Amino acid sequence: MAVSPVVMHPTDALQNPRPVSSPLKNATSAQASSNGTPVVASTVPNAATGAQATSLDLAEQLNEEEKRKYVKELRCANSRPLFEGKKLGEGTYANVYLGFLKSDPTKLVAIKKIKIQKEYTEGMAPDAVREIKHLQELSHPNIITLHSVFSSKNQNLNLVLEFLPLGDLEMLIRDTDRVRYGAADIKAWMGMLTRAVWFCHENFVLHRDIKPNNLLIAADGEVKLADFGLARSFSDPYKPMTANVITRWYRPPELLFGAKHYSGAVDIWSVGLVFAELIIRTPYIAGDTELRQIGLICTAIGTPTEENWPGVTSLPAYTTEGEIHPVRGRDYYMSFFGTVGTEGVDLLMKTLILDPKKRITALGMLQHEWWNQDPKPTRKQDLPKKSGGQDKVGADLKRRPGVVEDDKTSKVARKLDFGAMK
Amino acid sequence: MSRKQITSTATVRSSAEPSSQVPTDICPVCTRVRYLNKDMEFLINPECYHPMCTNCVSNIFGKGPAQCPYASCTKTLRQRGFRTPFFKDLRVEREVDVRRRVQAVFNMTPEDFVSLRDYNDYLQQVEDLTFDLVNGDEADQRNAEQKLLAYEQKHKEDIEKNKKKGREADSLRRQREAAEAEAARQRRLEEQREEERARAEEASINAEVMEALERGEPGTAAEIQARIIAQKRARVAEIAGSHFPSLLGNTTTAPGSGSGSDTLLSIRGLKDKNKRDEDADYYLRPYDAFAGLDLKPTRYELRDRYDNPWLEDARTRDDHRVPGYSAHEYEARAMFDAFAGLGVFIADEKEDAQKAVGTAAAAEGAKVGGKIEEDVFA
Repeated sequence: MAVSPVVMHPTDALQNPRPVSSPLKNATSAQASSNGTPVVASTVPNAATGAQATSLDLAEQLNEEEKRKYVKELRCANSRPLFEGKKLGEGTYANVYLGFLKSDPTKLVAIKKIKIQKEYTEGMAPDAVREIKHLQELSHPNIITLHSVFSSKNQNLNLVLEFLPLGDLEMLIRDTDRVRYGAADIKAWMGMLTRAVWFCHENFVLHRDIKPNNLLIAADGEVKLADFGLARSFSDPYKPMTANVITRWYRPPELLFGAKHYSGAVDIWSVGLVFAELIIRTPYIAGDTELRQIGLICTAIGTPTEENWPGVTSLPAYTTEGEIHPVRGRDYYMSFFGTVGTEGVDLLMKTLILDPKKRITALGMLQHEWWNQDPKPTRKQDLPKKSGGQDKVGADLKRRPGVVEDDKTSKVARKLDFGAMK
Repeated sequence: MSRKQITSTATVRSSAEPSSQVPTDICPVCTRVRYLNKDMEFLINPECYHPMCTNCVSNIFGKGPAQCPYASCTKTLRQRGFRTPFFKDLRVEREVDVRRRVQAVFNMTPEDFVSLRDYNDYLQQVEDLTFDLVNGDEADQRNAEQKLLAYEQKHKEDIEKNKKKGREADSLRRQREAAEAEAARQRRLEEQREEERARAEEASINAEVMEALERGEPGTAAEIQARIIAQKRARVAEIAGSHFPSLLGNTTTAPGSGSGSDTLLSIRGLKDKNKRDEDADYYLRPYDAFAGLDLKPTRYELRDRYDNPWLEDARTRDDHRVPGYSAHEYEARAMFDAFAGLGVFIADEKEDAQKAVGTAAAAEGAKVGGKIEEDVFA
């Protein structure tokens, strides 16, 4: 990758407290295009760089330099758009655009532009801080790469992220009509997810928002954990953390009971539910309120009691409703999740243990016997992709009926196998 | 493969060759005739390959091991060893058995050798040995037998390993073939269905033309017919694609475009093949759940517990203990922080960073060349 991995520390470049904006900022906004995006393209004359050097402090210079490396939109002289930064997605707190590297226009990146939020006019939005803080530390094939950070006009934060074109796991799970996958594919996805979580935990980062639509898929099929907007590092003892994290459906019972001191086990619960969802292709425990969520956990997994979770009744928001359900046994899980085999079900059950102290760790998951059993996880490039749809269909129709593509192996003469006779 | 001189073997066919054919009608031992026993069946024992009928086997060997009833054959046989011969020619039967045995011992694959040449040499050796076992004289046979046993003894583990590998490859092949067959079947079905739909579509032409005429649409009857046929053609093409030989004579699609996409398709296939070759042995390697990463601390050893009065509360207090707060995680982090940066050299870091960020393939895949360049020159 030609991109320099230099990532600006947020405090250098972004929290620029000076109320008076520098002359350059005015200069750039004067060139801004009609839709308010500054033009960062070849139209900026080279001479300007020299002039800037005198008027900008170091942080601003670095910021400008970083910003120039990426192009979100390109217009030629008559302002006809050459390349429009396609809006890839819009969220409550950020828009994501498609951009490319100026030095090599074939290299695409996703530029996440943090919206200015009313609540956080002073300083930066906390989710952006979290995302930058943790992503710049984590470099792993299964975690989205943060290439760079820069600020554009109005102190708008821009995160330059790896462009992952193939959607997310949720799309694949939901598209039951067109996407088919099997135990080997589930195992491959789970392997990648578990490695990502393991890597976070080994580096003392809690992700706190693991769910299928935060698992993006790269062009080569690799699953990457994204959206670190709720991440934080492991807390020191006696320092409370908020219990109001993780999307409800994937939230573990200790958080639903309002615990303020928890560990990596919260992520493992989410991983377990993603696992379950991959198998049954529908969210396993989907409550519409927190109370309902607790109720569903009680029926689907078992009611947390002093027996299976000593001390649970002392948690601040401990409530259970209705009768007490015993913890579900292996047979129950086998009937729902049997497709992944007994070992797979064993792993699933270990991730969904109510008592977080007894729950398996990410390391323990990777050491589980399941990975070594048949079927072997599918290679990432062979994994099902989103809507193999039209391309696939087109290719299928062009083929002669009843003929399969020649694989290399089918042409090799088979050795006479005397051993197998009898 | 250079066989040893065939001429010599013809003369030395020894004890193993008393009768080379399975008898058809008369049992050579009890001289019973098939005419009287419709379901007569002949068995052989791989000890000496002398055929005899099922009756003889149960009579002679039913009470335990006994000597082969053939004159001059001194082998002691057991009933359990008897089976129906697969080949009529018992020499072939024996050769196959021998080969099966040799194959089970010498079961290396080309991947085990440095070069193809080495593999071929190995195959040659194995074949020589097999030939000795099958066609050699007694001395040759004994010699070869010894070699085989010695090799088996020595390489027991390797043989076992290869056997396992072979089985895995086998089951994979079988799975793939089944999947391919299933895919082909599905495609055939799909196409049949499409074809039916397309035909139905075509069949309704006349009815539609009549309807249109009834409705009194503008234009002459011929025009209406032409229009409807054109519509149909488009619809049929949509349903069935190009593979369906439409009755409507789909000549409008330029043959150039068709052939162009064909070549494109084959090129894509080629690429795929190359890719597949690169890590063709993926399914033979054991899966590494950690993907080659080891995050154990290298500069210190993390103990299970560090005594620190300040941490006592975190271990025992309910609000920490119950929701799973782990003091050990804190200890691990404290240790990590204490040692962080030691032994880090900026030059190494830079090198690492250059190759490590993201996965190269993912970045490659995200490339789009064509679109942007096209626009630039537009």
